[in-house]
Amino acid sequence: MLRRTTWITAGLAVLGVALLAAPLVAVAQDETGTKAARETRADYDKAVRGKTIAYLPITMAAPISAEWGHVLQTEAAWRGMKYVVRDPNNNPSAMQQALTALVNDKPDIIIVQNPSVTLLVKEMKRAEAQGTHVIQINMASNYRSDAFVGADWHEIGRMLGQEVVKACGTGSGKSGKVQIIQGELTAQASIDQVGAMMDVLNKDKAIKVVSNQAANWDANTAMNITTTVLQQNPDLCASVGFWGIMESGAAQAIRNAGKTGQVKVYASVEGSQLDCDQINEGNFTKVLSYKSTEQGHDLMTAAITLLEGGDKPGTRHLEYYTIPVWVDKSNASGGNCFPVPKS
Amino acid sequence: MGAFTHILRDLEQIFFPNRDQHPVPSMDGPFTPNSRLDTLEVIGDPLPGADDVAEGADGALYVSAGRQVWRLDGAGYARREVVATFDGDAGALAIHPDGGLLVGVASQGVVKIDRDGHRHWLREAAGTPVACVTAIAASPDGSILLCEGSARHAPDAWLRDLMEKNRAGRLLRCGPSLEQPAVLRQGLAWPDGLMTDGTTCWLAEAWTHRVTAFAADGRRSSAPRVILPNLPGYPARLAPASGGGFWLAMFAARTHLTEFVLREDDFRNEMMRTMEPHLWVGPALATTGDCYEPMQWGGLKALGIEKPWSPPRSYGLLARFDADGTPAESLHSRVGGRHHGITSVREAAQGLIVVSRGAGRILIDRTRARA
Amino acid sequence: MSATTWDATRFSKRLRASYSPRLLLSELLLKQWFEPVIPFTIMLGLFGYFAVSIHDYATFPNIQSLMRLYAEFGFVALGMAFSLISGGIDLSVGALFAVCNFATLFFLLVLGWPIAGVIAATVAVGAVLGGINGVLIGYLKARPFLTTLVTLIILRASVNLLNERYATVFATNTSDSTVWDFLGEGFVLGIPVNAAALFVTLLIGHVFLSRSRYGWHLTAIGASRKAARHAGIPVERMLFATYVLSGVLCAIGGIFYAARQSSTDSTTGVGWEFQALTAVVLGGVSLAGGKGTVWRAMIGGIIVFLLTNGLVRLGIAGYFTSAVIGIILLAAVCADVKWSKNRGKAVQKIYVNPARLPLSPAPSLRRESGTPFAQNDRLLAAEAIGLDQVEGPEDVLIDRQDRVYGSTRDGNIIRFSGPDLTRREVFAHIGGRPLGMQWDREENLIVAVAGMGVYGIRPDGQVFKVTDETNRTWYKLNDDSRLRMADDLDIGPDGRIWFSDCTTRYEMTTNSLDIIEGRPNGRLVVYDPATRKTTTVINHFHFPNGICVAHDGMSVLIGSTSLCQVFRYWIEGPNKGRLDLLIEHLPGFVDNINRASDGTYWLALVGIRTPAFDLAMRKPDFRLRMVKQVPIDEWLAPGLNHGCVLKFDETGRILESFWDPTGVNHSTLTSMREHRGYLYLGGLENNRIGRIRLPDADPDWTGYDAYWGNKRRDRH
Repeated sequence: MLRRTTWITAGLAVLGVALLAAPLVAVAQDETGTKAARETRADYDKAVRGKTIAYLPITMAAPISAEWGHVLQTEAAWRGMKYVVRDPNNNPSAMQQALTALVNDKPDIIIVQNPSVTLLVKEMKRAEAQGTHVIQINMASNYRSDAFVGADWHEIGRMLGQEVVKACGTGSGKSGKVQIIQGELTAQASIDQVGAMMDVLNKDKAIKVVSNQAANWDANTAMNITTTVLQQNPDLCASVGFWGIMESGAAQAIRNAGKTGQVKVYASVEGSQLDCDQINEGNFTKVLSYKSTEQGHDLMTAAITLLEGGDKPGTRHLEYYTIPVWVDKSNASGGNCFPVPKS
Repeated sequence: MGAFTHILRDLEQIFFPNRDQHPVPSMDGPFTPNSRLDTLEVIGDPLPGADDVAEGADGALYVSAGRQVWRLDGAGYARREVVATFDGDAGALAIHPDGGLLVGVASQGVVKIDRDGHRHWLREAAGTPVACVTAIAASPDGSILLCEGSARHAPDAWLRDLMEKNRAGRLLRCGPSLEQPAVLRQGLAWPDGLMTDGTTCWLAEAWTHRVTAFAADGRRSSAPRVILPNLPGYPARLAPASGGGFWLAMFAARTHLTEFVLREDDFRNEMMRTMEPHLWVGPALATTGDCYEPMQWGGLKALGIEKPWSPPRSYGLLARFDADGTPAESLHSRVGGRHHGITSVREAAQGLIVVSRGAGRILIDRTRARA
Repeated sequence: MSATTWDATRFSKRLRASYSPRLLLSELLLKQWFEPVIPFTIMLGLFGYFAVSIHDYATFPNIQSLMRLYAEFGFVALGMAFSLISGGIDLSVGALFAVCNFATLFFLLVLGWPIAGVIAATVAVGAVLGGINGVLIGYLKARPFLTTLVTLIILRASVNLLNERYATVFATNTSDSTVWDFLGEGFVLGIPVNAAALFVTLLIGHVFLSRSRYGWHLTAIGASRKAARHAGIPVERMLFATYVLSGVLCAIGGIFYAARQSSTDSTTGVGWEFQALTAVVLGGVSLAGGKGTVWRAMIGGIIVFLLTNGLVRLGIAGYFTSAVIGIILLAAVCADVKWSKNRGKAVQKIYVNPARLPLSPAPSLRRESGTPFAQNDRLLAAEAIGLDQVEGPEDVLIDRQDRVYGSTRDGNIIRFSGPDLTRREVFAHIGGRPLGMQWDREENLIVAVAGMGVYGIRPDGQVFKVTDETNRTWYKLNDDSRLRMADDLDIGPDGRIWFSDCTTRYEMTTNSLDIIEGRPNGRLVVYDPATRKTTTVINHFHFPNGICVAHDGMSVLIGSTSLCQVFRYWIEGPNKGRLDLLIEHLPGFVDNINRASDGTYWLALVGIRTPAFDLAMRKPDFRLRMVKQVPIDEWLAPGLNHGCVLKFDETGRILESFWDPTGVNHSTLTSMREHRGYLYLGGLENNRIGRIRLPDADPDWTGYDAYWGNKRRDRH
């Protein structure tokens, strides 16, 4: 809350001052200060100011994509860029059509969150062929575009797997039964996380994965799956999910079965206040946060890099990975929990 | 475009739901059509232009017809003689309690011929000529009430007055010798029926098809009470009925086409401008059979029969009501009948007298003598 | 030509008078294909709105892009439409589509088959899966909703499993085929390939559904399965075929989607069955079955597609988009339901379209006026034939044996014979409303029957049909080939039968509406017995009534009732084909015209022009409101209770008139016929046939001889 208003105020104040003082500054710039500073600024403005940055998430209703959008909007406004957003509301064909339309409009940057590894590949290729930079955020596809910003899912999967092994594996004294809740089977996040996690889990003979299902990012589906799993395996040790919102459904099922605390709940999350609330209420044991606020900043950095670089789209392949941070009851507050942005 | 007439009308009905639509009522119940007027006995030869009838204290009938006033007496009123002639058409008649004869003369005014033959004239009231007296009633206390159909037209131009949608009638009250006329009400819609018993006065207005009553005491008249709000015909003169209530003559029946033409200003104005009045769409006192008269599809003769239920151009209608306005019975002369245009009715010593102006005949029903 | 009237001999003038925007709308409303006008308007409205609010929306590249994005959904919606029309429903279309999408990629990338094989195999997959539905629903009588719902679940689960297994393979392999790229990205005449294929499929589907026997069977099954079975339609087979067809259409959609996207995941086709259902129902395909066309399904599909696409592109927040779509669809469905319920009423309300018809001033009828029209009493003493024994003898005809025939309203031709013409018999019963009559060369009685056409009666009383239809006017929306009100006829020397069809917009029972409308809705038609063809000779004529071939056989006289005029149409000679105005000023409404013995003609005026009605004919808005606000009995009418008979010569000069001024014996005088020195009178609503003596007429003259015998005045 504080942070957002600070950002807004800061941004607006800067903008206001800049506009008001522009003539003075311009005059001043023309005459005072170092030549290097002036030239740097001029180059920066030439590359960045007035450019269009388009953002296409899967849906704006989720905190993760809402936070990205919020950060992008603020920063774009501060840098004098035009910001365009489309909200397909979780409808894949609408998302396809929106991307087609966006590409036709020829913005300078398009930021895309892929629901699956193949769905938007053709359009992204087309975008880069016609001169638009494409940045993929968090969920990549089979196509390597100019930039990728997001978590390293292998790393995330590995870290989660190691934590599960520590909690339920050999020597922990627990049953070793683990439930994995994936998001969408053909999403890159799922494929990579589960791949890395299974590698780690398979190394420990005591761990048995009793359920490995996709809940399509939906909390209700996760709850239903987990309820059934709990009935089949009352001595379930841990439940791992690939998204906090989805995993909260599983946590609810565990609470309904009265097994909170008994079954450890892990998830990879974006670090919103909702996730912190879940931790503080005891629903989640430990989560790995890739902090979508940071990712938002990384997105803008990637965009500016591409714009300043001046390369033809399709020639660079930049990567910006985010640091994952363990969040549990001891540090689920403050900077680890960004407030869910109101639209 | 025709599409919008409904919208305006519907909007009007939404915003003013209580406004009186004044539709043509269907003739049913006591108003079920019959042919009783056609079967009534006729008194003597035709009197063309017969308009009003009054009964003198001596039991004789006075009938105004054309420019003359006739006196009928004897058994069956078989004997007749002219008692007065005027320069204009004699219309409304009344007998004053002191024996004088009150006659409304078109374009001239009202004259009272008292027993010794003196004529007292009333020619104007409140600065306007009294030219169109349609009904006269004398109250027992000697004062005279008379009503003027319109300030703009003579009595025989009643169709023009209807088509112009005038409300220019007046109700006047004067002394026993037609002195000191006072205007009681104005803006009336062709008042042509008047009846008083001293305390209450009944007034029939033809263009709004209604009969109102008001208490006429002293020199002031109070707010009127509507006795009959919506009649199926154009009311003419009233007469008291023995046993309470009153008789009402109606000189023509209302038709949907006439009401429609009254709403259509463009058509009506051009009709009045380019055609002769007897060829206008509207009611008539008699059907002349002129091939130029407007015809309606329902009036098509089939197999030589003129259907009695065709839309009427002229009609004979006479009804009796109770004092509170409930219809008790009615006598009709339907399309193709003989006695249309009933302008006056009176219960007399020898029977019920009905004046059919359309046929120019006086009819009598001996079974209904005044009790 | 007078200044107030206009020249009715010019076709262009008459054509112009017979059309108005409201009239066009009322004719459109009568057409079957105009029914989905509300969804169609909404579709155009949506496109317009988005064209205005989205930048570059209405450009050709964007439209191409929209077409390409829509086509696969169009196939799926079409499959849903066919199953709905057959009375069932196919909820598995979305899942079928996803399976076929997967199958295409599988055959192409995993098995490596050639394109033709891939397409054939995928279509086969779709057909087989649809066939499973078909067997269950058609042969095993399972309920379509539950069956296809189960199929949906099974297929969707299968797709997810298969996707999981082969996702990586698809991700890493691509196809190099140019045909494949063409299918996915190519254009045919500027239209994307998949949209062009959809359009071709729509055309085939339209012809199939509306013109072929199988399409009718399909619709019949949907309308009432029981009745279809009783009618002998193979219901099970047709239902099976319908679901196979649905599967095939989804397969085609899947092929194009695979070619375009090369992507399959768990969201492919999800929710498409409900979107398709919404779309086709919105377009006008009935949920209850038996009603719908492929175009309606497409209109609905395009509406749904434009809505989702446009609202997202406007940048509106996601949840708001769903709400807006829901509201618009709800409104559209409400409007459509109200519309289909009230269409008949709407047609009725705007069907009558009065036009301005100014007539020239009428000549005076007054007895003292001295004109040939002056009223007289010459018909007062007419004797009555068949008093109260005939009902409305509109026309009278007399044969060479002096027997009198009348065409009556009960569909009969009544004949009176004997010395006093007192013996009455029903000569023939035809039906309809027989009107004008005439003898042909073989003494067959040819009669124009309103509501049926032109019929003939042989001398022995046997009825045969001459003609009951004419050629259809190509530029008229509604089919006018039926003869609605054949009124009067006459036969030329070559045997051709000329007759009038009074009105193409009304019937005999409603012809008063045509008179009030005052538009040229009628026509002159000719039947040629040599070629047995009927053709319309003069189109757009104001209520043509009386027809009479002139004495010299070179022209036909036509009386126009609404215009109160008589025209001459040349059928031979140098002026052949020309229409002239013969009598311009008449005081009444023209009905039948027949030959007189002295080389002149008789004309019946069925009604008198009253000033009130003439004024009303100059005021079309007045008539329109009158028709709506006043009951039909009370409408203003022409003076039909008074009529007369006129005599005129070849130049159109009126010579004399015959009146029954009281209208007691002869009201609605519609016809007169001269025979052996007498004039016989017929009336449309009369209860007798009248007769007066003509002292100066040829006592041996008969109608038959004037046409075919020794009293002819033409060149033969």
